[in-house]
Amino acid sequence: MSRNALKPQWFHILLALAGEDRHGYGIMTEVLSRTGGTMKLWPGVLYGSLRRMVDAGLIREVVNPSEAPPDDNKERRYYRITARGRRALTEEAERMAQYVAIARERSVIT
Amino acid sequence: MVGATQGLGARVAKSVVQQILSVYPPSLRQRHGREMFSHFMEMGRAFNRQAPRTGWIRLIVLAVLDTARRAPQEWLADRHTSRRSPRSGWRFEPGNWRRAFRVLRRRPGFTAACLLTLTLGIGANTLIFTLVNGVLLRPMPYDESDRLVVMWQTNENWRNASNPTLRAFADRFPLSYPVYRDWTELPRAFQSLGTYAGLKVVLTGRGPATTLYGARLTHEVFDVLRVQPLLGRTFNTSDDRVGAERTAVISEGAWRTVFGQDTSVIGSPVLLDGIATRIVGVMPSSFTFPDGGDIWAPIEDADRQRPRDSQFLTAIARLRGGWTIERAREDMERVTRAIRTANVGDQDNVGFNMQWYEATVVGDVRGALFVLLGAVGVVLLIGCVNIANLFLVQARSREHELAVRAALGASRWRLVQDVWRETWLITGLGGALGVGLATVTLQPMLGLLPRALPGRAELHMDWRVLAFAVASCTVVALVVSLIPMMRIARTDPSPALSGSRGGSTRRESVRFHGMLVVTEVALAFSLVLGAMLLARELRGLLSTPIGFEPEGALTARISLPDNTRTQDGQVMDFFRRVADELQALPGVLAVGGSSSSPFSGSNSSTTIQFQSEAGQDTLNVAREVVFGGYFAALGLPILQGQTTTSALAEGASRPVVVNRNFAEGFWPDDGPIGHTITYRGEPYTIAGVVADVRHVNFADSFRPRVYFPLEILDQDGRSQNIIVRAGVPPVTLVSSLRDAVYSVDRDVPVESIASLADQVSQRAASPRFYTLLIAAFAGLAAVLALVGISGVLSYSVVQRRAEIGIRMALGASRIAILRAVVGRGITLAAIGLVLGLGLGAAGTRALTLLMDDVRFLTPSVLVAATVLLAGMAVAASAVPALRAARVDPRTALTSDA
Repeated sequence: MSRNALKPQWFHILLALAGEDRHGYGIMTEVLSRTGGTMKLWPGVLYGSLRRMVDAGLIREVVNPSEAPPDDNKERRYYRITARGRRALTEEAERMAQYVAIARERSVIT
Repeated sequence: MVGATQGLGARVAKSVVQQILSVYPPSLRQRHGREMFSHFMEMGRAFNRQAPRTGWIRLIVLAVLDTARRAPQEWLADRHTSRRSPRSGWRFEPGNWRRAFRVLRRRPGFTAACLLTLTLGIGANTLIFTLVNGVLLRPMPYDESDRLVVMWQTNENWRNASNPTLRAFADRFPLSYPVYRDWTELPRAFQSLGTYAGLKVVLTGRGPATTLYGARLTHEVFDVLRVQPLLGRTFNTSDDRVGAERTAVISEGAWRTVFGQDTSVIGSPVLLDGIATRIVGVMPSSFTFPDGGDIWAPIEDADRQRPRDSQFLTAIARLRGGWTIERAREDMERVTRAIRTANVGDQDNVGFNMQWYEATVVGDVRGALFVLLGAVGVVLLIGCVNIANLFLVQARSREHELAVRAALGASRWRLVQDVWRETWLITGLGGALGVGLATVTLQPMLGLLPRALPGRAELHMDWRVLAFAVASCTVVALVVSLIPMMRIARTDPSPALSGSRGGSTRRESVRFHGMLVVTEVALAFSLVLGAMLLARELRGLLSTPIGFEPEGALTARISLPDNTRTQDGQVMDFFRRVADELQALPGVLAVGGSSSSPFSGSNSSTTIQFQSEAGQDTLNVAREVVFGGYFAALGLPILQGQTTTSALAEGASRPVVVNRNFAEGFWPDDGPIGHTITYRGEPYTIAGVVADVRHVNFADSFRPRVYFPLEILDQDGRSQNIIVRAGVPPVTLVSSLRDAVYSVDRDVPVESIASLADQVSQRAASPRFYTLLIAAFAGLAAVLALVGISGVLSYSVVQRRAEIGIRMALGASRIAILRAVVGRGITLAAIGLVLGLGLGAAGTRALTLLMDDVRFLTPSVLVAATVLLAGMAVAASAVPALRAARVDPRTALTSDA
């Protein structure tokens, strides 16, 4: 798991869940706004990824999070990042930071 | 009202999304199906808040695209982990799709009819849209091209001039260099303004001489268009001043073919028209300004010093950000007034004409393409009606099955879904086949395209074309599924199960079918009328006598490079030597040339004075400078007298030949031979009269024309359209013609070699292309409409079997039954024809966008089209009629329908 880079969608989903539990629609809007509209997680991509991320133990479903607004749709499932997911996220971020450091060294970016 | 449409949109979107989700593997649907559904619906609501009208449509498109991209991967992943999940009890079931597929497979005839209709309909639409896309929709390769305008001058005085050239110039008259200077300085509307004129140079010193076309332009043009060179640089102010070194920029194409992609060409001098010119840059292949072209050079010194009344330039400008064209026009009005005040007398009638650049490039083609798109859309519409009809018939004949299922607890909604699924499945398949058909036919169609069509080189399928095909399929599926669904939604299981025939609903449905057929016939008839009108015009055009014999001759344009052979007599000497070479070839019958032969695209006119029977006259005439056996080579008969060549041989000093139009117009009684005309102050004697020719195109009218000998006007005939008439096929002489010219001078380029017949027929390419397409669409529409008639009659025969049986039992003859069925077919067709006539008459106006001067409906066309469609309607009724006549009263009465 930690050898290979995370898929960008997975990275963004983990990032979106790092702060708080969210439902699918919430993840989509969060990632959309965070990436300035460049990373579009339409349902096909999103739920396919969520399913595999749950299977991989990076996130898990939570039925009724305490923070959910009282009038929220009861059908909605919320997702929460697991300890493993958090570790994968950190590793990925560190890997990225490393790349950035190398690029900076070579003056690719300033 | 708005609320109602939103409600409908939401309902449609809801069921579409449900259907779409059923495409995903069960494992995913089971876990996330509900979430995905409510997610999509929430997105739809969000879209709808942004754009109330199109929100749901946007959602459906997005959902289709998302699923098309994602579902296959999910299925693959599923197979990978081979996790079989228990069948979910929810609405999305692949089994539903499998069942739909099975239903279609069980009815091969029905499925094939639908697929064929869709393949042809979607295919034809996709093909035409590829044209529209390539020509109209693809953006120009210039940054913010929607701010580019072109400008000419106008001259009120010329609007009613007798000279047609002047009349044509009244709205689009070039500007002079001083005016260009004014236009760069005075207006506020433009970020930048540049000017250009056509350019033709001969490149020598690198293999055989090559003619390069392009433009002379000021350096601002590159700023206006915001283009960057591929190599080197474009022009700047230092190139654009008197006394500057001669420079040029070449195209990527010329750099590749002429210079072998040698980068050292940048900065090196080449010989253009015999003058050393430094190549400073290479433009990328996307740069085709003003229309194609391989070379661009600054305005020449001599042209910069030409006075205000020497006009030869066109202006192109980029509007300042935020300026509308109306505001820019107002600004130019102010400038025009200022120029008038500063140059009293000179510019009194001179105005300006500002147009969007994009619009002038596409020009007249826009209207024509939309007519084609409309026509092909009608074909698809007829196809839709047909398929809807077929589905309706299917739904009726499956009534029993559906009723059983309804009785077993399947909801009405569920039955609707079934039909919907079948529709989408068949439309998807048909659409895919249609796109395939369009892909296959695109290449052959490109060969038929008129050469004048802008952007024809860039026609290919792209995402826009695919999106169009997907959109048309969606529309078809919606239209087609709506009609049967409206009816099924009302299915009441009891009468169908109890075997009752529900007479009133039957009659209602028969009437409904009839209405659909009438619509089809009306649409098809209007297209057939249009096609016939166009075909008649085309035939008229092509059978116009053009006055000369295009078959059996080869033609080429040979232009002597500027700055060479500038002494009088040298031009004639050159062409005489070329003609001698050609004359010596076996099979060559006659060789000659003219400065502007018919259908070659070149044209020249001049003013002469003469004494006619009516008195002293000054006349604007067409001028040709000819040599050798031009009239014989063209197949232009000498009506009186002799040719200039033979007159010269007999010692005449300044002979000319005139055409019949001129001769009969001014010397109707004793003929023009021996009379004198004055040209440039010199007297010429009329030695002969030749027949009239159509010069510009088939529709050209005759006008007075004077043929001057090249022997006298030597330097005026530097460019000649050589014509070689031969007893052998003209194309076999192509290389001999080139060799003949090169053997005399390797630095003279030979262009536009073609058989004369090809050159002539190319002038009718656009009308021919449009007629062919409309005729094909009309044929398709007619066939589809007839399939519709046949289908509906067959259906009603099946429905009314019992009734027919009773009638026969009561003594009706088979002939009477036959007549009744055919009669119904003809009645439907007749109503359609009457409605179609109205449509066709309204559509005739649109045809003028395809071809000039399409006349209104004439009785002959009307009768021909009516007879054609009515005959086909009888034929289409025959099969069901025969089936009805074969009904056996005994079996018909005992079994239920």
